[in-house]
Amino acid sequence: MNTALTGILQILSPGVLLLMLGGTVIGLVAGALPGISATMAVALLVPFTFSMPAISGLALLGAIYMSAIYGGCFSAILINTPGTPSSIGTCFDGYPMARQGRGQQAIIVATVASVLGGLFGVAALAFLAPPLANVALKFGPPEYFWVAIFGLTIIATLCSKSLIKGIMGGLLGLLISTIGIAPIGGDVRFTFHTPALQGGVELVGTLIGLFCLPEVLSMILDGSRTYETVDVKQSKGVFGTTFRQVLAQPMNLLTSSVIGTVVGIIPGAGGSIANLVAYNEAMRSSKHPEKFGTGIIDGVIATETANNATVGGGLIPLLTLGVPGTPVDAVIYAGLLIHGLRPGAELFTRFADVTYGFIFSLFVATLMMLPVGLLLGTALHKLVSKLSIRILAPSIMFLSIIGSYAIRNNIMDVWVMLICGVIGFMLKMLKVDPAPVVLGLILGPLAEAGLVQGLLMGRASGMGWRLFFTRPVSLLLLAMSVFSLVWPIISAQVRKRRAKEVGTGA
Amino acid sequence: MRNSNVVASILMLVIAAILWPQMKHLTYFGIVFPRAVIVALVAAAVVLLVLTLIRREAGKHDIQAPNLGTVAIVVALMAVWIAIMPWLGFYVTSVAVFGLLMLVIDPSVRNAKSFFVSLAGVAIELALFYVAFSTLLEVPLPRGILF
Repeated sequence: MNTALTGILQILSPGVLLLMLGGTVIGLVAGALPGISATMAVALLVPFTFSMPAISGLALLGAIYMSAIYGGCFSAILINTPGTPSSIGTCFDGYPMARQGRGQQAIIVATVASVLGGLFGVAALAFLAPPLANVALKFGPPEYFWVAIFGLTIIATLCSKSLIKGIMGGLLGLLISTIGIAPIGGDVRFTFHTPALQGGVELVGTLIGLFCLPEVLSMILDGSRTYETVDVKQSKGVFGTTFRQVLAQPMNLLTSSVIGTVVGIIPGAGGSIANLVAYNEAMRSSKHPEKFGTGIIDGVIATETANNATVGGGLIPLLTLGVPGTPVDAVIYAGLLIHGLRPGAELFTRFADVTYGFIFSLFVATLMMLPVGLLLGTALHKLVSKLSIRILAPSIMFLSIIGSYAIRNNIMDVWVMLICGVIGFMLKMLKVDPAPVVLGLILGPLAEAGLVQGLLMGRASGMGWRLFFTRPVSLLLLAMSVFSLVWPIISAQVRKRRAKEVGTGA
Repeated sequence: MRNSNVVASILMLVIAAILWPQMKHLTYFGIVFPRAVIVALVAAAVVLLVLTLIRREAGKHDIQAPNLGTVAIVVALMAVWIAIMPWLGFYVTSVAVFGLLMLVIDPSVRNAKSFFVSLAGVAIELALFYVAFSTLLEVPLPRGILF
């Protein structure tokens, strides 16, 4: 308890608070820029935290993450283009509100909802993660193997339009993770006689390559970016009225927060799915569903509450099991690793000061979004939306180069980043989502260590491979993996049959 | 051949074909995981290919790749950037390649005045990052023969 308190007090030091304020502004700018996702923003800025104390670095990343997810609402409301995929649903009602001259109200609604959703997610993280970490203590290698496989099957299913392509992406990520020295046995694998690859591919550079470069290249292909921004008229007294209007929808707030947190916990899903699920649920349970899409606050509340609630939710499986809940969490995982922190029970015991400090920093960063978003959000959005692509694209490339170099001061990591970027771009053209690749890359070591150690345990006990199919938790995880693979196929068949029946009926 | 399923399947099969022979001299515990992954990758690629052929979707062109020439130039410039950075110096290389990238990405900047104004701004932006990394964050950036 005292250790946790030490971490919390460190967050309240002026230096860390200032850093988090900077992170909130950076996240807001990144989120407000269409084409720059929260994943990209955090990936580009992870290297900046390298020389900082772990708690400061993680607090900065957490602030950027939370604020970037929120920042996406500005372009959704003001230019009808979601700044991040997490704000797609905000366009549906936020933009009509802005067109009706209620832009200020839409921004206040989005801000308050984001703060409340974010706080709910962080509370869920604070209360659910420690007991889950204790449960994870009871897992052996076979269970960890199945956790990794379950994570991969879910990710492959959710992240890709094609199940097989999602699986192929995940498998490709697993293969990349095997480059270098084998964890048991010490074999050197797939290095093509390059000594620099013996330590494996450097995670941050690879993530920057896979998440950032394909987006920049697509940005260049799309050409000029011209947006027509709706003017926002500032009126006095709107905040109080709107704040009360948001609080007058407790069920919408609660349901969307729960949806966001649960979707965040499911590996691979994240804000891009949560905001749409919450929007649909708000519409389904509304007394006036026909008004959705015409500019009512209910829709904005649902999407913005849910997407920020995914932040805390997504960190639950990451901090306890090492399975990233969302693509941004995959980058946060890399941020933890560069500070020598490995997800699992140890984070809540040996490194409790850093972990609880990090969780508390998310709480503070969420509160910071309120003044920063309301005072600077619109002006910042106006400023950055004028940024020319000829400056923006090379700037991101520059950050990609400097970021991938900074971790180990090794030029080979920069080459790996470029190669991964080209591979990521090719995969994007082939409609293979990069998220399963990245998560395969992260879950690969967990899966391999679980498999090989489990095999050794099986040999020692005389059970061999059967060990993976006899322990109760392993069996549960296996069943969940099979279900997550088979379910999309079954549901697609059901949808097809229903469509056919409707067609025949007509 | 511009069907994403066909190209993705073939690409995965090629990757598997390149990596498989590399496992010849590995021990059991070094090989067990990657071998299983490669087998699964080949199976997934074959299933995708066969399904695409059965559904007669192979002829459906769904890969949209306009301006691939520009992308190739941008990637080549990045490669040049990385290659000469340790030799010429981080800052100088970055400003030079940044300028070239601006010309490639936005042809309207070929107006000399607008180009140099943008480049001056870029030089300041990069200098700030250079100082931030080399002094505040203590990351030693490649100095080369210049800086």
